[in-house]
Amino acid sequence: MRPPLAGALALAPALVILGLLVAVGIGYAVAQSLGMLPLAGDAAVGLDAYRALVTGEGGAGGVWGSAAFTLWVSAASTLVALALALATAGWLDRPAGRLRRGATGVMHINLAIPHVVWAIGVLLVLSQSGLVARVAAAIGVISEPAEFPLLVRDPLGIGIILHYATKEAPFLALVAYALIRARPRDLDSTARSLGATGMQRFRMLTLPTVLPGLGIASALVIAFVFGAYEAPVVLGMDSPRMLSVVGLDMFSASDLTLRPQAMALGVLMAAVVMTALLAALAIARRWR
Amino acid sequence: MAVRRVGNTAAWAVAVLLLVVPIVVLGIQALATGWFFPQVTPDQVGVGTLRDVVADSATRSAMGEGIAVSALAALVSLALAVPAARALALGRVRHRRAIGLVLMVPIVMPPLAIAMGLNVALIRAGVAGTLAAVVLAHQVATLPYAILVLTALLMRYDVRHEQQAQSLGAGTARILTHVFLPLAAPALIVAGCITFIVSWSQYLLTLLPGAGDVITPPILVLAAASGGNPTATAAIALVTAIPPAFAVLLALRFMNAPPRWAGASG
Amino acid sequence: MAAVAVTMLGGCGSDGAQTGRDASMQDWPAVVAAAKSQTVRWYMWGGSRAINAFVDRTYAPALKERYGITLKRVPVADTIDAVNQVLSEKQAGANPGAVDLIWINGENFASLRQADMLRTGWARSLPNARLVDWADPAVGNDFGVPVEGAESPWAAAQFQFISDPSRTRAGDLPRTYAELHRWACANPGRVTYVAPGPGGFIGTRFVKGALYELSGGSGQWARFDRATWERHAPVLWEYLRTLAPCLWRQGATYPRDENQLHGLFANREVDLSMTLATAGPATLINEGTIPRGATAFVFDANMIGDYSYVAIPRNAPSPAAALVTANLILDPFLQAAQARPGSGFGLGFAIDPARVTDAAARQALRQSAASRGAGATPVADLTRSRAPEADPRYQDLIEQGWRKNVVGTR
Repeated sequence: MRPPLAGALALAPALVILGLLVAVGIGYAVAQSLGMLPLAGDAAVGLDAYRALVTGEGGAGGVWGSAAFTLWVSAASTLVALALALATAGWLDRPAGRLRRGATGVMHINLAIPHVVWAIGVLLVLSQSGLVARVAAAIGVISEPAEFPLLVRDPLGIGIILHYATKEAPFLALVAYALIRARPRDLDSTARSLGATGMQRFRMLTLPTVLPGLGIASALVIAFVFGAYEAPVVLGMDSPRMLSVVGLDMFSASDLTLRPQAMALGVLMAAVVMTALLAALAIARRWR
Repeated sequence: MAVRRVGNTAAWAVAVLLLVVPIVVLGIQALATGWFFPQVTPDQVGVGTLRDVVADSATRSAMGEGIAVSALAALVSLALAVPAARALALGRVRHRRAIGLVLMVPIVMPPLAIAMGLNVALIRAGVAGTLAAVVLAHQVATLPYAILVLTALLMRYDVRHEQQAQSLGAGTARILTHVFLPLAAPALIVAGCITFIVSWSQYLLTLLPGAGDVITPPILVLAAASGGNPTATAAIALVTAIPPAFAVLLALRFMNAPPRWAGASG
Repeated sequence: MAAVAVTMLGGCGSDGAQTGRDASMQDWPAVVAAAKSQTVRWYMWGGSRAINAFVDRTYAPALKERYGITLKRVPVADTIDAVNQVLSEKQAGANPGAVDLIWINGENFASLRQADMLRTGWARSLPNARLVDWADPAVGNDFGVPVEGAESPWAAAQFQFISDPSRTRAGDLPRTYAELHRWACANPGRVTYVAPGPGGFIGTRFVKGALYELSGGSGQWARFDRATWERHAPVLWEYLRTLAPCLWRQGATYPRDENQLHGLFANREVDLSMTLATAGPATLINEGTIPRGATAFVFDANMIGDYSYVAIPRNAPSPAAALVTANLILDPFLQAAQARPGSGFGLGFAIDPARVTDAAARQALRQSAASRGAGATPVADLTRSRAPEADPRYQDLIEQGWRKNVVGTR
């Protein structure tokens, strides 16, 4: 007998609501980016906003620089987060009960902390007059803030990268950990009895177990950082800015003609992410 | 063997350090005034600013709105996620993977793109700036997570309890309220807590649909971060991190409790 | 009586722009009666915790207790946001709008006047208006634009620098922009200024001061003249461009607003900060934003001083409450409280203490003036170095010109 409220129709409410929200959101963004429903003046339907955005006139200058910067930060954050996650997932597997529970507890709390709070914490620790700099000054390595390396509000986005690396690594680590836990126990002991070293076991057992799941999780992370706002606004510089910061600045600008360009930027960002997602799926399918 | 253990402990220490230091520094800054470079430890420590921040009407209002929005968002998400998760976990839905991917689209989309368009739509509909508008907008971020988490947790649900009730003649409503809800309660609480946390952290999806009238903690904290008083900023940041921290501890408690419906430990 | 009040509150254009007096405002008790149980939405720059706290903790209870008015302080990142709100309401034909009162001056005042979106003729008719020295051209003109009863003063401000005597001796401090240039390049990376632009009006003021000095005086900038601008702007950009490499972060980036600058100053990343508070740095020190011992100082000249005002849009939903609020903030006791760094926010009086007749009020004002706090600039120095604001049309030219010529973007 089929359980109640478990048929395909049960999916409908959720999918309809989500579909509507995304469609309406993107739909209106597309409409305004094409010049329909203007805030001021008459509708002048066309690709003017896209042209202005892409050629950098009309106050949008530097969107290519921002795009490149955003891609760099997204990729770097995800890679560092992945590295940290793999490093910790390995020894999260040890049977040390209380230590492991404590570590997973800390990771979970980190997940709960809002991004804006974490960003302020990172700023306090890593700025040129932050805690690490002060400790360096106390032990005599530096004498003034300017001598400390520029790690936040810097042109390479190091602060932003470290923020997302430390915020997303626990997420990835917990995913990896769940995947490792789901693996049959005897595989590991068999490998060990056959003489495989830690590194070999990691490479041939752990990695293949976690990589597919981590692949999807990493795709989520990279897309998330791509569209993120809070940390870049706290930890970033005036230029280059991440794309969401550029977009919101244009949307809120007093010059109302920048609105369609803001919408165009949003639409383009959504298109980039969707294309990347589809490409990743295609690659994953072929790989299998 | 011993070397490996030391290495493990060291690695564990580094990881915890990375995760804990920023919060500790926030905590110190929230209690310290006049704590500037090159002071490593603060001279003046006190709870004055913290007390002011907690008593401030702007803080209280933002916390209240945050709790209202996130709690409502969690309830709405759960209401929509329960049938969906049941279908994915218990039913025989085809193309499960495809649906899973479709569910990830809203999470993956840049929130700015959706929030800007929703802002326009909600203003035109005349409901921008209401709590309901924000709760609705948050579904873009919360509903997919609610479904994915609940589905994963319901995989361990033993549907035979319901089949038994069905064979005894119980109707759908009775089965859901008397069989499903009690047994799935921990899973629902976990999914609800995670949804609460996701909603609590939303900035763009609150700022734009809220049209400046709905002020939740992330908006308050970001505004404070551009203010001049680092102590007040840290205090607000920490105070607003408490509800989601609570939620995650609640979720952990119910996640680690062995499910009542499963047989051997899962 | 009520009919008169209704006429005035309906905003039926009884301007009285000639005399600056609104005849229908003779009936103040009717205004107060109409204002009872109204909510006044006051849009103001939200970047100063001290000002926000004073408004919330002093004006709001006073309005509630004395008049039954609820005050809703609406913070904006820059006054231009409130201006845009009113302008878009004008375009959408929204009446009533959302804004009752705006903390405004300068080019923002000019743009709303140009759009004819401000109530006029009311400011001189407030009961407390008699305490204001309207004959003083600095009060009667906002950036050179005649006020014409369309805004009422709130506080006085003057641009000053802040230094830390434990780091720099008073004798070593620069006293002109030319000296500042030399000083900055002798101590590279120890000086910066706020980027002119939205939220960075203190940076615009800094740059304007440089313009005054480089062009030989502030007088020629009172009226807008393209030729004057074209002649002196290149010199200004040259000065700022050659200054840039000596600045903090080699001028690659500038603090976005005065709070960021205070943070850099407090953490010893730079040695100078800036403020507009006539009472000096005491408010900032009390807040914990900058360290104790910080001292304000002025250059020998070109330190721009001006008044801040409040204005009421034509489509304000609660104009009576707005009028009562504008009147309340001129109350001598409240003016005294606002100027005191401990309880207030350290900006100067908008009223003329000589016009106050009540003995207790005079005492309060005197005490307030005397308690400016350590580190305040001596009044004589403030007076000597004060320069007036320039025509509002230069504001955009300066802000956009700075972005284009000094930073090189857009």
